[in-house]
Amino acid sequence: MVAMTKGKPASFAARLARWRLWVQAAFLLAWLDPLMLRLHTVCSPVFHCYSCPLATFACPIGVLAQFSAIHFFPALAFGTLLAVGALLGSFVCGWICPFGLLQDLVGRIPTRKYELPGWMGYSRYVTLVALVLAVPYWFGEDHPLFFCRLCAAGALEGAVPNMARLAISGETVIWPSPVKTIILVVFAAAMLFTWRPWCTLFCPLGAIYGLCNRFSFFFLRFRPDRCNDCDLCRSLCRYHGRAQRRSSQTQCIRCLDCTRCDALTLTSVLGPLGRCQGYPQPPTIAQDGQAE
Amino acid sequence: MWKPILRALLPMVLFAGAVGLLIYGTRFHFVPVSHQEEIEVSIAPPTPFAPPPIPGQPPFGQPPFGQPGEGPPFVGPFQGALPPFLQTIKAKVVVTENESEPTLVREVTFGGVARLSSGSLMRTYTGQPPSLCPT
Repeated sequence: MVAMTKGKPASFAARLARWRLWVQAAFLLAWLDPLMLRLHTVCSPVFHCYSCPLATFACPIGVLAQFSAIHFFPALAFGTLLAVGALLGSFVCGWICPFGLLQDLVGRIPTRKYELPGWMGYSRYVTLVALVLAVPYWFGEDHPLFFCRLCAAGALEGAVPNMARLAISGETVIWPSPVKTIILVVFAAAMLFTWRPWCTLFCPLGAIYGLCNRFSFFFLRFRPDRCNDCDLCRSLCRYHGRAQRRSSQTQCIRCLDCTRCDALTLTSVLGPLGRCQGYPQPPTIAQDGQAE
Repeated sequence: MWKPILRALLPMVLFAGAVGLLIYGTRFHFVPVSHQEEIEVSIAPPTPFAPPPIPGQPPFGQPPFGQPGEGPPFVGPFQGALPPFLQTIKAKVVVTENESEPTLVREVTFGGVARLSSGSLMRTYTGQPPSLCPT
């Protein structure tokens, strides 16, 4: 029994999901500072290293770690993350984040993809608490476990372009730390064999937005009255079967692929978005045992 | 009945709190940051030392045991060789300024601020900021 029928128009969320790559690409343009504004006094809501020569805004995780090192409360970074998280939750990961886009693009290379165990998603919280907050607070930014010294996004977006720039201009090339380089290579290789390994294992920003999924303004609503246990939602979810039929799923990046199943709808706290006209409801069983 | 209402109110309350945090961080959150500044200090020529007269003793500048006018005149410590003009030297002083949080956010992006063991913040550069992040 499959809750999907050919020829029926897709729901609003499912139609929106088709535009995801384009939305990600459009946001990438905004993060890459086309107007050369260099607004590094402002935190962006995404994971984009401020050492990148083309970074428009400051990375919120870098700012959190640096402010933890100097023992001051980062009101701007925290306010930015809370505002975006309360509004969108992890829609940021699926639709806006440039490092997520990179992983999606590399993941499209046709190789066999492996699923990571669900419990590995908790390592993001270890990263957030230990490497972003605790190590900088207790040991300062010079510690080798300071988050920015390990960040693969920083290596890719900051260290590599700056090395290239120095090499082209004939100056002495400053090499990034070997640890950082190894982490970048490991995650780049892992992108070929699993969907979004960085988001699953290491991303502290995804950990924050994942928590925000529990109370965000926009969320995915599971409608048990429309579910017939066909597992379509799980088979549609590329991110390790994360469609767990709960709006508060912390590992969901809200790519909306699972909304092709009618049991999952994109909703705001004020009501559903768009008219849900997707796939038919599962047949109900009458008292006499016949499907209606 | 209350659960949907709470579910609807919670993101709005948190969003309002976040906007409050952003306003506080932008407008009202200032952090004292020290930095070294090179300044030029002008040293004025020293004035002759003239302590107040002690009762029962001869005035300063006169020999203690002798009549006025006898012997060579007493010369004070600086009366013989006064510098002919003001001397100017360069000195480094520590200046503390309150920086707004947006400025501090920009400073930390290139490692421009470090925390001293005393707990105060110190700018790590003078003049032009470094172009590369230290990590």
